[in-house]
Parts: sequence; C-alpha cells; structure tokens
Amino acid sequence: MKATPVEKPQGCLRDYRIAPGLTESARVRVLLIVGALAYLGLFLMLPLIVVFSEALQKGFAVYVASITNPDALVAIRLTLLTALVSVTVNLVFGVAAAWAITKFRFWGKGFLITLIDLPFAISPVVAGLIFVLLFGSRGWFGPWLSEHNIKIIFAMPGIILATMFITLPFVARELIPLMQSQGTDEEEAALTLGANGWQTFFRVTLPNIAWGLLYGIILCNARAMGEFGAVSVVSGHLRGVTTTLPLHVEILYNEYQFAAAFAVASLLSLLALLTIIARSTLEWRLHRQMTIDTPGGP
Amino acid sequence: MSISICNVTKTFGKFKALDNISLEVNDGELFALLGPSGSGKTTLLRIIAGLEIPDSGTILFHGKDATMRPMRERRVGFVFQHFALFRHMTIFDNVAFGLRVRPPQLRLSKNDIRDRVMSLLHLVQLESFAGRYPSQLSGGQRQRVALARALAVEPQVMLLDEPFGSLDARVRAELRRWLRRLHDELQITSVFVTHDQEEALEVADRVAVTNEGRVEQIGTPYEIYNNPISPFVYEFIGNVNLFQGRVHDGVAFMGDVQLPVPELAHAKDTPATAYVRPHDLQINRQYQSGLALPAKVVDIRTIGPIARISLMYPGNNKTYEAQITIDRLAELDLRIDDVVFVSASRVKVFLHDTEVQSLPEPAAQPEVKKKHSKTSSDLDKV
Repeated sequence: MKATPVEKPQGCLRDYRIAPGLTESARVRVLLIVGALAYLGLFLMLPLIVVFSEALQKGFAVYVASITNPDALVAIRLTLLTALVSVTVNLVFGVAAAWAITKFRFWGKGFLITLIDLPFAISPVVAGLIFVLLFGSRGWFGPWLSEHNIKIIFAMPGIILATMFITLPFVARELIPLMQSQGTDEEEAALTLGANGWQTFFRVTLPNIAWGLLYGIILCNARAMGEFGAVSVVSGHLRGVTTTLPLHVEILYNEYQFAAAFAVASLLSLLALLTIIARSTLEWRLHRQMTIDTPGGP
Repeated sequence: MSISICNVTKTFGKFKALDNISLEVNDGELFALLGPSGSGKTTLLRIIAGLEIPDSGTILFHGKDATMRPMRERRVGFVFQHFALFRHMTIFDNVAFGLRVRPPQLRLSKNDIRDRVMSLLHLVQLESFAGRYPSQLSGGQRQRVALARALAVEPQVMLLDEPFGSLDARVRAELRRWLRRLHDELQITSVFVTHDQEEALEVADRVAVTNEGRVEQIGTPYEIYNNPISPFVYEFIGNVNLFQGRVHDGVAFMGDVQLPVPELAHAKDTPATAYVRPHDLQINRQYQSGLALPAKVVDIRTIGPIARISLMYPGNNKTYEAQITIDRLAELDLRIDDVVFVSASRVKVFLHDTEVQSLPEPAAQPEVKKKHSKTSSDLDKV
C-alpha cells in the first residue's frame, strides 16, 4: 500500500509542536518507555504468567482436582466468609467514622484520624500477636474464654478479628477526604427542607459518596482475602479447619505440591485481577463524576 | 410572620460571633443584615434557621418562642451562599425534595408534587431545565433553583445567605431586581445577609448594619445612608472623606477650618473626626460666596456618568476625594494641578470616644472658614 503524502501549504499550518526543552528527544523517550515496560514485564507480568503456567503444568484435571479438594474448598469458604464479615463491619464503621469526623466538631478528632491509620503502620504479624495476647489461652481474656468454652484463637473468630483489624482503615480513609471536600452544605439544606437524619443520610449523603464507598469496599475486600501475616499467627494452621486461601497455598508449597499450590494461588490471583478491573472501572467513573461536578474544572 | 431577636449571644470557642443582639423583623418585610465578614451576620441567620442554637437569648416567631424549636417545625426556607443544590439530583428532584421527605400522612400525591414543582420552576423561569443536573446550569440559574427549592415547602420566613455573593456583576444586578419583584409578589418575611452595601440599600426595606457581633444601626436604606449614627456606619456605607481635628466649646477645628457644632458644646478640646461624602463636596473655579477651601487637583478618574476628583489640601500631602458629574467636569474643564475652591454641603463630626454625637440633618451646613482665600492667587498654577 502506498501512502499518500499529506500536502502542506507552505509557511502556514505547521504541525503542532512542543517547544524545545519541554520534552525529551526521541531516543530518550524510547529508552524510558522500554525501560518501564521491561520492569513491569519482569516484576509483574512474568510472575503472573508463571503462576498460571505452573498451575496448569500437570494438566487441567490436576488443576480442577486441586481447587475442588475438600481442604481447598474449606479454605475458599473461610476466605469468602472472612472477607464478607470484615468488609461489612468495616463498611459500617468506616461510614460512621467518616461521618463523625467530617460533619461534626468534637474534641480528639485529630487523634481519632491518627488511630484509624494505626493498622497501616503496624506489621501484620504484630497485629496477629496482639490478638493472641488478648484472647489466647494465656492471654488477658484467655481463662475467662476457656471457662465459657469460647474459642477465638486458632479458630474462625480469631481469623475474622485479625482481618478486621488489618482492613479497618480502608473504607474510612477513602471516605474522609471525599466527604471533607463535599462539606455539610447539602446536609444542612436537606435539614432546612424538613428531612430527618435518616432521610438526609440515605437521600443526600449516601448518593454523594456512593462511588467512593464502593472503591473503599473493593480495596478492603482485596486486602481481606489476601491477608497472610496476621491470619497466619492466629489461625494455628489447622488444615481443612482454619486455613484461608493464602495459608493453604503456603501449606501446599511447603509439602512440595507445586502444581496444587499454584492452582490455588491462581485462584487468588484471579480474584485480585477482578478487583483491579473493578477498581479501574470505578476510578474512571469517579473521575468522570468529579469532572461533571466541577464545571470549569479539568 | 414577624421575627424578634432578643439579646442573642453566640460564641465559637473564644470568638464572640454575636454579642447581645436584639432586633425586630416585621411581617412581610425584606430585611438586610449588612456587615463586613466576621461581623456575625451569617451566624445570626443560621440561628434564625435553627442551624445553630444561641448561647443565650431568644428568637420569637410571631411572638412565640422558637429558640429551641426543631428546624423541621420552623417552616423556614434557607438559601445557601453556594446554593447547596443536591448534585446527584435533577432540578426537578431538587425542588421536589422538601415535598417528598414529608411524613406520609402530610405528603402530597405524586401528581400534586409534580404540579407544584412545575409551577415553582415556572415562577423562577426554569421549566425547561427540569431534567438537568445542577452542574449543567449557570450560577444565576442555580441561584433560582435554590430559591424555588426553598419556596417549595411554603416557608413562612425566607433566609438568604449572601444570595448574590458568588455571581458575576451583571447577573447579580439582574437577580437583585428579580428578587425584589418576587418578594413583592409573594410577601414572605425575608432576611438576607450581605457584605455589599449597594445590594442592601437597593433591595431591602430595612437594613441592620452589624459590626463585631453587634448591631450598629437599624433603619431604612435612606436613613442608613444619609444619617449614619456611628463612624463605623459612615465608613462602611459608601465612600467618605475623613478630616481629623478637635472640638472645643461647640466649635470643631479641622486644620484651618472651623465648624460650629452646637451639639458638641460639652466637649472640651476633644479629638474628633469630620466625615464628608465625596458627592457632598462642590467644586468651583472661582471663589463664590460662603466658605470654601482652595485645593489642588491631583487626579481625575471618570467612571461612567460620574467623575472622581482627587484633591490635595495645600500645605499638606493628604488627598481627599470629590465626586461630580461628567457634565460638571466638562463645565469646569478641570485639569490636573488646577487650583479650585471646594465647599461641603454636609459634614458630620464624631468625637473620638464611644459617645456618639450627630448633627441634625438640615443643620449640617458647613461653615468652612476661608483663611486661605486671599492667598489663592499665590496658589494659582503651582
């Protein structure tokens, strides 16, 4: 195919150009792009490919068998349940905390914001240990719990508690800046128009924060399903009882069942990929909503 | 419905937003709260609405105590400074909001709500925008939506916080007249807050000038402008020239000028300031009669139909301003550095203490003693 040369009137109608000095030369640009892509390929794409290829190395039948294995099924169920509970609880907590922090003036507000960030700062292993020290058999509440035959550590409640602790900041952290930027004007307007507290929340506040809230939930969920450190400390690794998906992968790997380990890992990776896709879709919608809200903005 | 505010005080931390304020808004009146930012006017408006509770004092609606009455029972329409439209709702839903959140037994039918909303949108001339979102409207249109939304709940009182503050000058002037007409049509007791004296004087029936949490003066726009009772009101409303001096035995000494101020006869050598509006100064080429001071023209600025002349008193470097019409400017054929004679038709002297003294209005005949008149020739053409 022959390309028709574009006719250019002389002297006018130049190509749009960027002033020299505002951009790099072509060679530098190519070098930077290739460098970035190589880095991404090596550290992100390659591991992902390895996970899936290793998982399918011994054939599809083995793959299906490893993820339908009773222990694996328990792990899947436990992981989903843990995520469900901790996301729900942190959703309620996050909305309440963000609401309180952004809509009211009270003493100790700054301290509360710092406190919400605490789980981000603490190592997950330490977080797990905290719960062992609190609820373990030799912990503060241990004797009382064993008297009443309540098992928290090395059982499902411990796993859920540890996950809840780790994922506590996500929803609140997402909502606070959003609600701060929105201010209290619309809520006050609703109140002067005769709405009560619940009507104001459900008809005005919630729709305004809906996308931010969903974004927070997705991040919270991803972390809840993937958490290893804290859960590892409190779970006790009772196979087929207290193993979540990440713990199950570790057990299989330590037993040299590589294909099975990678099969379960691929399942987790798939969940992560779905999360990322959902996240970028939401990010795009959120961005669009923001630009519509601020005419004249970017 | 009339509103009485009795001895209301409100503090935020250490900041005293309102300091024992009392005022009365009559039934059907359009009342303006005018003051610089931080003077407490918005706080007062929010207290009337029920968005804030005063530390002490009472609010009466139609003679009945409403200080602690919940917002929902006050029947107050509030228009926020930045409109606070619900951004996720269409214009129709915004206006319908107040009708839809009513308890079921008081709620109108769907069709009635629809009719009501459409008639309100007709009133604010936005029928064709019912399906749009607030972000798709201009500032002036949003303002009108905010008004329609507040009117939907049939308020007995309308409260407007800087209603034109975030609009550009032309839209503002237009909406101002529109609001006045709307008020005359609906006759709802309305209070609006503004820091723009022109806005308050043009739109309101009566104006309260606030400063540092207190009311300085309440009166009609005419009274506020022509008979300010304190230096603050004088300086805040319109431009004013200040002349420093002293008052002794009923005579004010302002530089070389002496004014009789019989009302201040009790003052013995007390520092005082004389206030003269730029348009109360007359400029003449020749010394006419009575008392006039020579002055040098420093600057001439024309703004539409008026001209602002900066004048300098010979012998010191202080300039002051006179305002004359363009026609008068042409008649005088003023040039910079010309020496002219300036006389004042109205002067007010305030002593430098809390005690406020004012001249009775017609008596404000300045007697500008002209010590310099005979020397005008040596000042000619500097």
